[in-house]
Amino acid sequence: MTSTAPEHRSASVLIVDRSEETRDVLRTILETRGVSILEAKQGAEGLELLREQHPRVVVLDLEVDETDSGELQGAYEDESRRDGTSLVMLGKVSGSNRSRDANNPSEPRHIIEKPYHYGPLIRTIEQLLRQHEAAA
Amino acid sequence: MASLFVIQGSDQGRRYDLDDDAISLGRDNDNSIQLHDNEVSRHHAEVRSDEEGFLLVDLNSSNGSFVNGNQITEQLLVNGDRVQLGRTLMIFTGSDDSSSLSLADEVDIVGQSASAAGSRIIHSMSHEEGSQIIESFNESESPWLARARSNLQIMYRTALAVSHTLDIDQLLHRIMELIFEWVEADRGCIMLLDQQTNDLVPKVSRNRRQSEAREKERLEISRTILDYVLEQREGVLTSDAKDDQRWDPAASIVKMGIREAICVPMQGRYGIVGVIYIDTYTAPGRFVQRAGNKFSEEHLKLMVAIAHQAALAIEDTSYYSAMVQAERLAAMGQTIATLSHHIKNILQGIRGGSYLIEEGLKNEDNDIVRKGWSIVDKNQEKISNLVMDMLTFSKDREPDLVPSDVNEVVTDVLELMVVRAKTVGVELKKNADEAMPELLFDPELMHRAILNVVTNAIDACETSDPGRVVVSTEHSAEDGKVRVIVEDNGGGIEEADLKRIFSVFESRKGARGTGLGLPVSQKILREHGGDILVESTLGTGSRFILELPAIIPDPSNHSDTLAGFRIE
Repeated sequence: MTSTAPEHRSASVLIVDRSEETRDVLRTILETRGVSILEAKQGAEGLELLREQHPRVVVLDLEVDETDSGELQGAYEDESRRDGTSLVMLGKVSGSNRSRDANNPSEPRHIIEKPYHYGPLIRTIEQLLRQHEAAA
Repeated sequence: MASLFVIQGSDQGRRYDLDDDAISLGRDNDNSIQLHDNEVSRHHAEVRSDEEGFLLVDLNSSNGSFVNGNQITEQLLVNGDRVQLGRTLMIFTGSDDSSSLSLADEVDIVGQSASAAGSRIIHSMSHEEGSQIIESFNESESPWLARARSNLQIMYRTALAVSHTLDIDQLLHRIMELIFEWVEADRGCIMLLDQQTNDLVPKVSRNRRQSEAREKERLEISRTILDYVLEQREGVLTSDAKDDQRWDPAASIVKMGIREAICVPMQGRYGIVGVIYIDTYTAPGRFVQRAGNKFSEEHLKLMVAIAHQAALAIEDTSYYSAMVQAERLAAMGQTIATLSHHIKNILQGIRGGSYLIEEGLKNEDNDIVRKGWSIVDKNQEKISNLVMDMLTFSKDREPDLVPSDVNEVVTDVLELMVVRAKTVGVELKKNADEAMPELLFDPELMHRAILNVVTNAIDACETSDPGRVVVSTEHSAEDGKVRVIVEDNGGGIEEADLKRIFSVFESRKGARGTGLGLPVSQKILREHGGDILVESTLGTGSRFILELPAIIPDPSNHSDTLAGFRIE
């Protein structure tokens, strides 16, 4: 059996992705590490969970909705900044938002372009959870 | 919408919509229109729009901005203007909505009305007759009139030649034939300017003496004459080159023994596209005295007119080719982007599955290994379907007709889909016509066609509770058709979408859909002589009817093509 990391037991990660496979993979691996998981398959649904449940890390697939991802991205960034939540975005970040990121390295967000490998993504999530633990 | 279309330069074939109040043009990537041209300044010009129209403003560029060949600082653009920045030549097309509207108000196409009741056709003339009228010749008419009629005939035939083809080589051959029919030239050549190098490239060459004497002579054309024509943009007639003041006696024409020559620029709307050259020729050492001149000023005038007509046709053809090429590239780009997107998603799935297998093995957790494997398996199925759809769509082929059972094919499809349907909570039902005879069709292709439609049906009712898909078969002896009907209780398809669902890469399923499924199914049915019909009601569901001719195998005929079978 997998070992669990007790220090993450209370932490929660919100996965916002319309691909059931992706949610399945992330949930399976993170749960074996003792992380509790919240899931949403639509942008609005995820935003609601983010506001209500205050997860420590959000993994957002920028293609979760068919609408303009720039708007969705903005809403998640605003909400996560307000809440001190770390935001991991999967996919391509729109032009204006990308330049904003370059000018402000302290932005609490991480961008992973697709197609990505799960190993580095899981490590990023774990690292962010550890930072939250340390800050708490 | 107003636009700039690049007809020459590195961005040839691109169309830029002028959809903002101020559109900047330049080499830097922060311009609204970035031109990949080293002779264009970083911020070269701007197109500003207001109620008056579109104003091109030069932004103090190094090489200047030109409209129809004239340098400008500011210029209001009109439809058809050619805008040149650096080596990039663009055509401005203005928005013509308002003009078409106002004209529609002024012009009426009416049926029978009181005022038109008295109108009747008193004579009609076909296209062929029209050309004969110009050809008719009356011996009693004056030489001037005869010549004018002949010239008109030449121009008429030139107009016909240039209007009947989009193939430049064919067009140039016709023009050369026409010239040789009309004037007693010994040799002739049409050369076009290469857009990249600006060099003249011979496209058509003709030598009357060569066909008569069966001897091979190279056609040498004087650079002096060509340069003069290109630089001065005017046609020239030389009756005897040695006597003409314009030519240096040491120049190439004198050495070549030319007696008479006509060389005219092919002047189009946007510049010179080439030259037409004809001459009478006597090779050095073979000089034979000829009586009188073959070429006159009138020949020169007509040659200028012919060359202009040909140049317009060449420009139109190039413009058309550039547009076709642009559309082809755009379509290819869209295809590659769409396929890459699907493959990327599948790859992501495979990576996820592989990662789970790896983690499961590392931690000796068979449940995780199994979960990973099922994801990998599902994605290899997805890529297999994508490849099969791509192959089916890209190839035109005759179905391999073999005696087969429609019900069996439907059963196979449903068996394949049962797990997927169950996963998303959709009930899958079969309603087969038990009296279905054995028929001739390609079972492999029909399997694919039905599979795609059933897959869509399941996806369509994922949000219905409970979702239900019913696949029925029916054979109608009356109209000799067999139908596979796929019904779902999903959300239905909007009227506007119904027209697009069979278009390639039009998917209503977002990232999950390849936009290939329905076009492929339709293609397969059509290859069988059938089609797919769709009925849909929003909020109630959709009904896809895959209809194909019921071809009953004839035991006496073992051919496997559509011919030789009776259609019931």
